[in-house]
Amino acid sequence: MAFGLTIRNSSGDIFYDTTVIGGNFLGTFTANANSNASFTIPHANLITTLYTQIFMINDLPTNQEALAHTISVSNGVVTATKQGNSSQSQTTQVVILGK
Amino acid sequence: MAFGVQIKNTSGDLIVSSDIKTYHYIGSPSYSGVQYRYNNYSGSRIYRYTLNSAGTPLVFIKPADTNKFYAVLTHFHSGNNWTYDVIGSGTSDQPPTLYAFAALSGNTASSETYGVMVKDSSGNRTFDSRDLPLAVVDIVSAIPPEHAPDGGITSTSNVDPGWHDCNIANYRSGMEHDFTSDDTHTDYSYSNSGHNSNYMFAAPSIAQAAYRKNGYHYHCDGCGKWWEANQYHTFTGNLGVFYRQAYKLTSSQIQAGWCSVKEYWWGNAEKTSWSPLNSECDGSGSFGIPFSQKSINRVSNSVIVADATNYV
Repeated sequence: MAFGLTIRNSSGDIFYDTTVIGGNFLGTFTANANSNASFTIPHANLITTLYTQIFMINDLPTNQEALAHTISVSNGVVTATKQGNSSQSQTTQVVILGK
Repeated sequence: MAFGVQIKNTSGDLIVSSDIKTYHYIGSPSYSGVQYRYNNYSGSRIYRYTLNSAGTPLVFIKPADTNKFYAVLTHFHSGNNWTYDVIGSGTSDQPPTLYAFAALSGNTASSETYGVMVKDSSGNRTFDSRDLPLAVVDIVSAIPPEHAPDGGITSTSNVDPGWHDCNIANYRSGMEHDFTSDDTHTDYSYSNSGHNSNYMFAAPSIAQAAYRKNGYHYHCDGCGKWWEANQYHTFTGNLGVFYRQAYKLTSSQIQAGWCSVKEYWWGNAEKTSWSPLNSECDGSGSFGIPFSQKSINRVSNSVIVADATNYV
């Protein structure tokens, strides 16, 4: 390689190569059911592209109209906004990734 | 930055930073069995796994069968004990292997005295090559098609399944629809130049969908016949299927699709006559589908692709 960083394991095999890394973990937070929540991305100015991944926690897989939060990002702050009424709104975990 | 380490690629993307905690491998969650089986239409299984972690984990799925759809269905935790339910399509048990990652905490357990370690201004490790940092291959934003069934959205107009007396199960065939979902997916390419059989992905199932068919039958024996007593025959019924979002990882694509998880089936047949007034064949029960004719939580969600070879 002409640039970047590669890391090899004890067998000499490359397992980490910055030339092919497609993203990085930036943080995670949980938005409770029926509540809004927000998260400030650390050093957001270093990130060119942001991705969010949302999970529902403790939802009933088949017997409920369960609504996750909707996610918006502005000025380095990720906001999770509740949806539906108290019986529909679910706890949502938000994972933030970027590169 | 006034101090610390930043490593970027030639596109300017930040790869390693002393300011951001890279995720590192913490182990493979233990498979504890099948929680739920559904064997109609495309079928599905819900597999359960447990894991101990001080930090919030990110769980990757290495498919047991690359022709099947998988996703993290839900998770819950008590203290450091985490439980994950993973959905997989199909009518056989094929639990995937999971790989979990979390931010570094404490000191490394490794005895290696070489490698690369980065700390933040508080002295906490943000990156340590000895603890196997997560090497993300690609991140793709994916969303499944709006309607889950391969047969498309169902019509809620009543269909007439005929009259089958008290045999409620016999009404079902006249109300069927192509509720399979194997062929309903949106396809996305990803950076697959190094693809191998150990590729894995992290993706949640938050979108849900439910569709239904409605059945109704009525006829009267004897009506308009003076020599025969009137006897009224009525059937009402509903057949519905509930879906959850899932993904298939092929050698070149991420396919965002659906798993049929559960069906809702209910029917009520009644046969009444004027004298003496009677009712037979009451199917009782209720339909119970939580919603129908729509998908919810259907938003673009990130699918993270990585190579499990580094962590096996």
